[in-house]
Amino acid sequence: MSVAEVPTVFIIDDDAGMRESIHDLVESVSLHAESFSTAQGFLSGERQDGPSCLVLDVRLPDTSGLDLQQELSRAGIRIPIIFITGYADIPMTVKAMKSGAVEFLTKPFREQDLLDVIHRALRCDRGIREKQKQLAELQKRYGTLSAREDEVMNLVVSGLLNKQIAAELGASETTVKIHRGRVMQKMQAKSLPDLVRMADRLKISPHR
Amino acid sequence: MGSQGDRSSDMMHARAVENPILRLLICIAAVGVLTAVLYTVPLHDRTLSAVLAFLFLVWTVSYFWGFRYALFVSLLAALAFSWLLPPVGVFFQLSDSRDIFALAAFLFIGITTSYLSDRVRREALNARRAEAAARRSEEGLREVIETMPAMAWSALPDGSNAFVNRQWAEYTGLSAEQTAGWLSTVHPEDASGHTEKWRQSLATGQPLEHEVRLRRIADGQYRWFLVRGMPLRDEHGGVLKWYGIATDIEDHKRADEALRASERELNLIINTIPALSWSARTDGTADFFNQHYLDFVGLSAEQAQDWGWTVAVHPDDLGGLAGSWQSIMATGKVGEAEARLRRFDGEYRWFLFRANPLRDESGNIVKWFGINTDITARKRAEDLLTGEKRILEMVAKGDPLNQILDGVCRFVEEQASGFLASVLLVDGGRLRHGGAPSLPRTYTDAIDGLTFGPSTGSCGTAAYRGEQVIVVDIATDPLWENYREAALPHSLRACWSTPVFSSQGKVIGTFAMYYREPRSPSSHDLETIEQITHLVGVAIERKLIQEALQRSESYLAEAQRLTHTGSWAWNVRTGAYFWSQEIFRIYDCDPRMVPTWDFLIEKTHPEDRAKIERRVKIESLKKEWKDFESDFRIVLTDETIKHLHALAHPVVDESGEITEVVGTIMDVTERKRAEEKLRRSEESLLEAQRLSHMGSWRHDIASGAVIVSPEILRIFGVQPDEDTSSAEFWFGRNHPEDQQRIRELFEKSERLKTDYEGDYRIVLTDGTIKHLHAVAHPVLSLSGELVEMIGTTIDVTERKRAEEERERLRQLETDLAHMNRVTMLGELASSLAHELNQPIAAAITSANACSRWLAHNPPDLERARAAATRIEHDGSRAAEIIQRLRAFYKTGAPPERELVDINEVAGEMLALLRDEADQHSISLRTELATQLPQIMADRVQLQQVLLNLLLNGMEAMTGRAGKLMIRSQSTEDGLLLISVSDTGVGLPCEKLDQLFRAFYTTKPQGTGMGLAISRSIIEAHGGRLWATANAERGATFHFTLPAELQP
Repeated sequence: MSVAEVPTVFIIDDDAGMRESIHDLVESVSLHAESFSTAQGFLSGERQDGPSCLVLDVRLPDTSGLDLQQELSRAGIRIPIIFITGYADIPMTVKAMKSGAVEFLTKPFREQDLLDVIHRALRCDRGIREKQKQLAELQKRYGTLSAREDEVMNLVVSGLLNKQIAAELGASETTVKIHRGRVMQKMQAKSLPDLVRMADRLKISPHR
Repeated sequence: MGSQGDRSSDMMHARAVENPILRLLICIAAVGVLTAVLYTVPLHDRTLSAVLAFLFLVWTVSYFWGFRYALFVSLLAALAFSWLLPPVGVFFQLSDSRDIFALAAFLFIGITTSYLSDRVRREALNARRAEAAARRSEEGLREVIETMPAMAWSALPDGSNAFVNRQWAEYTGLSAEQTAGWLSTVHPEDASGHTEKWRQSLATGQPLEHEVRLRRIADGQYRWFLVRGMPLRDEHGGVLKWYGIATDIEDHKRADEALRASERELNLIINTIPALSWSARTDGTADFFNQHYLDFVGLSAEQAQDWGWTVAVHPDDLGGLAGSWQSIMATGKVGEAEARLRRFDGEYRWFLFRANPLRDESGNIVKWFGINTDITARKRAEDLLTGEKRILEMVAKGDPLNQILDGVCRFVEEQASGFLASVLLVDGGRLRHGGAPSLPRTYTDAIDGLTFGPSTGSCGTAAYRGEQVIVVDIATDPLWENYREAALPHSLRACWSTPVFSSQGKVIGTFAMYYREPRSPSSHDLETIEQITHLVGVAIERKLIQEALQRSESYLAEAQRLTHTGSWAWNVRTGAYFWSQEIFRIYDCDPRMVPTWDFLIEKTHPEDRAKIERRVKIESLKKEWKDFESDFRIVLTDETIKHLHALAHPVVDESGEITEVVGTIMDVTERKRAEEKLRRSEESLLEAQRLSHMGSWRHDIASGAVIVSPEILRIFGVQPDEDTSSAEFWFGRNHPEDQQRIRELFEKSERLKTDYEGDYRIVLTDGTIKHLHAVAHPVLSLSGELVEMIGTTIDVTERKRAEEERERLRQLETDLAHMNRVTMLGELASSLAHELNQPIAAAITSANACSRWLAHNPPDLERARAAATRIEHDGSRAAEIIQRLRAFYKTGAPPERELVDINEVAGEMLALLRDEADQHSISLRTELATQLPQIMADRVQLQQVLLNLLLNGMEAMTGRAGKLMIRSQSTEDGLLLISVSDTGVGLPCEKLDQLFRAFYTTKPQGTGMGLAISRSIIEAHGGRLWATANAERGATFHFTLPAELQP
């Protein structure tokens, strides 16, 4: 396993004392920690591609933690976020959780709570990363299909028979069969349900 | 008249009747008479008688009066005769032809005879006339011969004497008959020679000319005679007779001899006189020079002859001399000319040529005599005088001294050749270049500024010693040891320097003559030096005096200008005014105008005119004039008024008469103004004392008296009749509680001679209590004795009261401010909790981490220690926050100024507000300028202001998300500008001015004190607080603080 596989805990807190103590705490459980005083520092910094999570103070000098969460989401950066705050009112908590926060901790928190949440987040992230990897593989395969094969696959997963497909495309049944066989081969699908699941994951909408 | 006419006509009758008309009348009358006689007398033959009678008459007339009258008478007679012929009684009638014949015959005879008669008459007359003339001529000649002053003689061809004139006879004593013995009268020594000469002449027929001595019979003396004889020859050349004269030449002879003797004598004299004398012919060529002349020019008489002498004349003068000589000869009068003659040794000397003409008896010039006089000395003196005049003219003209001295040098160099003149000026202990036009520039520059001493070349030494220094050879003279290199390259070999003295005997310069060869001065040189030195002295001194005069004049003018004092003079006799420049300046008029009395009066202020005129009139009437002063004003053209002070002083001549009035006019406008200002300032001081309730006083130590200003009396409420002169009186008015203290304080000041300052109360007679503040300082004499205490006392009752009031208000304000702070902190309670929570949370986390590090196996002590350090740090941070809050809570603390960083204060306040802002979704932003100067301010008060503004901003945004921005910057005029802007509801425009009023609030729970307190705090710091509405949303509050508050 490469270095990139070492889980990283990112910490963003403008309060130096708080930041350093969390950093120290994370390291004390043998996790890799990287801390930033501002969101900007975090965004501009280079991140290893590996399981990670973000411990984020709600209140930051440049933007608020909630804003950063929105921004990351918009940028397609999926990273589990653990919010910490001096106080927590319900609206803020709801908003954060809705936006996909892993947990919302109020200072001062029990260190075990924080560490548990961090571990859970990392686990979750790891799972997500696995799924994303598989999807990427499928997409790669799907990309190798020719246009006609794509059409054929689309019609196959829609549940049409070869005959129907041939009629639909104006081709002979034999030709459809050949295409269909090549699709199965390229997509490495063992069976039709397998292909259907792939199509589902690739979010290929069934032909009408 | 008539008698005279008669007489003359008688005389004419007596001699001859000359008048032709008269002659004709006589002729007619004679014929008439004769006819009448012939007619009346009875004659026998009247015809014949008549003819005879008439013929006789005709002849007579013809004889005396000539033919023409005879012809006339003949005609008349013929007429009468024809009338006589007829018988008596008959009128003219020729009846008989015989008568006609008779008549014709008569006429013929008459005319012929008359003609003949006339011829006869004329011949007789001519013969008579010739005879008379011959006789007269001979007589005249004889007379001439007899009377002529020479002795005349004649001799026969054989030599025998024929005739001697009377002179001869008288002289020799020999009568005409004894002439044969004339030889006896000849001087025996001359006789033989003379005889020989005479014989020769006789033999040859040559004219005789011989000088002989003849004895004078009268005294027996012999006298010289020149005997001359000429032969009278006939047509064949034979000698008929000898004629001659003997002229007495004794006197001639004698004079001739005397002349010769005198000429010899003259020659002797001429050669012995010391003058140069000469003579010249009428054509101008010289024929004689005396020995002295020849010796002088070194020419021989032959060389000098004719025009030879001109070689000795100076070439420059030759033309002029020749011209003069020509004009003298042309006029023929005594004449003079000046020219230089070269002496045998080559030296030229000036001579005056004087020529005198010698004339003969007829006035013709026969010769010119001349004398040349040596005028070199005079000429030199003249030249010197001319030079001196020229130099003095330059001095008078005000030419620069260098130019004058150059002129002197050039002038001296003109006088003689072969040397270079130099004049140096003495300036302190240095020599300064004066004039040396011929010396090389490099040399004069080297000399300029030389400090002179006992051995400093010729000039330096001469200036040092004050006596003449003759250096014969620069190359060897020890005086030139240090200056040789400067002189020798310019081939200057000798230098004679003479100090130039002022009339006070001070050395003011040196005059030097440089030669290009070693040389010592002749007596003539020394003489020249003396004269020139004197001239140089005059020039330098005149120039120095002139400069000193100019300087002093300019000082005077400057002094007049500075003191605004002009001087004037009025000549009583001529009425002319003199004004110095300053008066023109005072009157602001053209300095070229001619001042007049009318002008003065015109310029005088109308109100002062009468005064001045009256004053002058009074003064002029007085017999004795004294100095008088007058003050008056003048009005200038630009209507400026000036105050003048005039002084006049009469100048009296020997006879006691006032000739001139001199005086000054001083512009005293400034002084008048200053006096006026002083007076006004005194007035305003009293006024100021009255207004400020401040009185002044003096305590005189010697007399113990107290002198006070009127305001003191007013402050103390003293009645006019009270005696206020003692210190006791004043102490007595003091409040009983202060009396002892003040008295001691005052007495201590007087004892120690130190300044006094005291605050105390007095009690007026009506029981009013006043607070006073007194200040005094001691006045010491020169010896250090206390003379008096001078002080002021101010009634500070009002001020005290105001101060107390102010103090009360301040306290109130402080209380309010405190209340405001407490209120604000209450509002911020949750935020404060967060602020405290932060370090506490961090500390707990760190403590956890620490435990974990320790729990590692083996324990990671390093990391554990780091965690512990962080715990300590966070703990301290929490304590700091508590501390700050406590300061904020403190009540009634007086403001304490310290160095404050406004950005830091803003940071602290933002920290306090952060949670509060988060709760209300308000983002806090800062734009803080870096490197702002620190200011001297009360930190807590500034925190309070900022907190007030920030809370206001947040409250304005309650219920809606927004931005709260705090900015700091320094402005161009040295202020710090802090602004807090929100995006809230904004300001109620119509109530903008009420914002800062106390108790004005828009908030339900507000005290309405925040902004008012904030504004009073900022203003106490010398700043300003104001609000503006934002362009988009919300409001901005600004305040400034002066950066100078930085110490």
